[in-house]
Amino acid sequence: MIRVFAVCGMGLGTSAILKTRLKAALDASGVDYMLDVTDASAARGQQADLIFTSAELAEGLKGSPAKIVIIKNFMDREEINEKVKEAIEELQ
Amino acid sequence: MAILEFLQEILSNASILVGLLALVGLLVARASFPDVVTGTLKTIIGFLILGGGANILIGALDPLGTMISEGLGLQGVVPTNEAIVALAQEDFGAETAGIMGLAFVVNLVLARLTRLRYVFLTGHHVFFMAALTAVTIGVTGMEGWQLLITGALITGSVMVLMPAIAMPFMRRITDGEEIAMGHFGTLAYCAAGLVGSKVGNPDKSTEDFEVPRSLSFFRDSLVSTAVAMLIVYLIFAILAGPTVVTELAGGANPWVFAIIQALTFAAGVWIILVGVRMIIGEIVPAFEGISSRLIPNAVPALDVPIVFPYAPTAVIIGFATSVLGGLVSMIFLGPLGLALIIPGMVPHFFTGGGAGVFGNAMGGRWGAAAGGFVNGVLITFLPAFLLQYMGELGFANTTFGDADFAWVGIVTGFMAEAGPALVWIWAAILVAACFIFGMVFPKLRPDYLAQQGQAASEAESVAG
Repeated sequence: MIRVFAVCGMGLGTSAILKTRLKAALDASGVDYMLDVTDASAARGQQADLIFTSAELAEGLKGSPAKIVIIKNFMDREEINEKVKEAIEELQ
Repeated sequence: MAILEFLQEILSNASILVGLLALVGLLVARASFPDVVTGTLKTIIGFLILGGGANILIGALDPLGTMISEGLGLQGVVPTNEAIVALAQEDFGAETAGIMGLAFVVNLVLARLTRLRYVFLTGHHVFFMAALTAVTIGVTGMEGWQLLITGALITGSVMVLMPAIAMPFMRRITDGEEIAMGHFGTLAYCAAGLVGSKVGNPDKSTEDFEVPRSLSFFRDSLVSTAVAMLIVYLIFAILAGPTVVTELAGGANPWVFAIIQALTFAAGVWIILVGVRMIIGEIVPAFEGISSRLIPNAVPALDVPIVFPYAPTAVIIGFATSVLGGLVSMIFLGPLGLALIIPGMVPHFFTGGGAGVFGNAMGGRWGAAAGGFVNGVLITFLPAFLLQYMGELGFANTTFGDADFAWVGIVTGFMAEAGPALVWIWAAILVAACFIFGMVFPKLRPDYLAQQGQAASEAESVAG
């Protein structure tokens, strides 16, 4: 079971959208996962394996033991699918 | 009878009603069984967390209210959407949940029937708008299905109209038309774009010079709220004087008390956010699942940070000038007999930043600065006018922070005071506007460029 976070500034609007895209990609990959949305400060204090976020917020998450994946365009399903695939291959 | 009473009890409980909304959404979107169970439970628990956060927040707001009134002899208000919505749930919880669910449906129907094919996906803003319409209509005594239907028609049509009005600007910002603005600060963003186009030159973009990275920690909303609240609480503790504050603190040290209350305020806002996040994290995916099936070509209208990457420097400039605009406007509130609106950092950051991006796209550096300032003025004066339409909630030391909540609330409240008939007329005007704007103004449609391109290539093939 891997723990995944979608992170945006408030953990409200953008990350909720990101969550739907991530869910589709994670389902396709076939791994067992738990997916939640949150904001940057909460993400820092929680146990996670994978964190998907924007370039600006990734800066503040540097200390986290989780693998940080930067998504450039939150609407681009292809980018998200590709990055999820890469990240999961790396984790395994 | 007992069963009926039980049903009524369940349906008038807001947390369960929101949970049902999520349940229906997830079922219609054909989510898997574990997803349906998790989604429904998390939505209900999220709503209960929201209530707990609200209680903490009220505890911290009360002494601030006293400090401001003792210090300045005025009613001081910090606009915080999360706070006012959480407070509104006590009296209008079930109405808010009902309006929110129906507003999603109204949005989908309008996106399907009109040429403004926008689907508003910023769930927490729909939640706030639903609470706002429930309050402004509800305080006049209108209730039941009339309140639900008018509230949903108003909220649902604004969910289509605001992204449409922002679209001409969004085309300039994103250089395309794949995403629309779905954030209820849009009136201020468009004002920022218009003012920006008058004062500056779009070729001299903010992105050509650097702003210190040290300011970017304001993006972390918990930190920015805490810093801003420390400043506000300490200033008013000084103005009110140690005697008053010591009394509030029950004999404890006044400065320690002020600091703890300021940080408790931030803690309360954060807990509320955890609750809202849980609700939205379940409802939005369900809603997106439904809309992508029903309206395939619709353009998603998304939260304001979606434009931040297009001009990050403009975000910081807009934030700074927005706070400045708020502070300057504050001076005029007292003499005009309006409540003192203290700049809330979260709305100023997000909407000021958005206004900066809109201003920059239309008028470069000066456009970004002017746009942020205009936003700051608007989100200070408009919430002050809104207070008088919020009944007893208007005395809660907090209110809605963004421009669209304010203008929609003011007009709706004004109509509601005049009687239920006018609320129905106002709702009908908004719905009609979605149809008429879509027909009359091609630039407000989400596929303007695509159609232009198509027309051009057709003309070419005819000429060829």
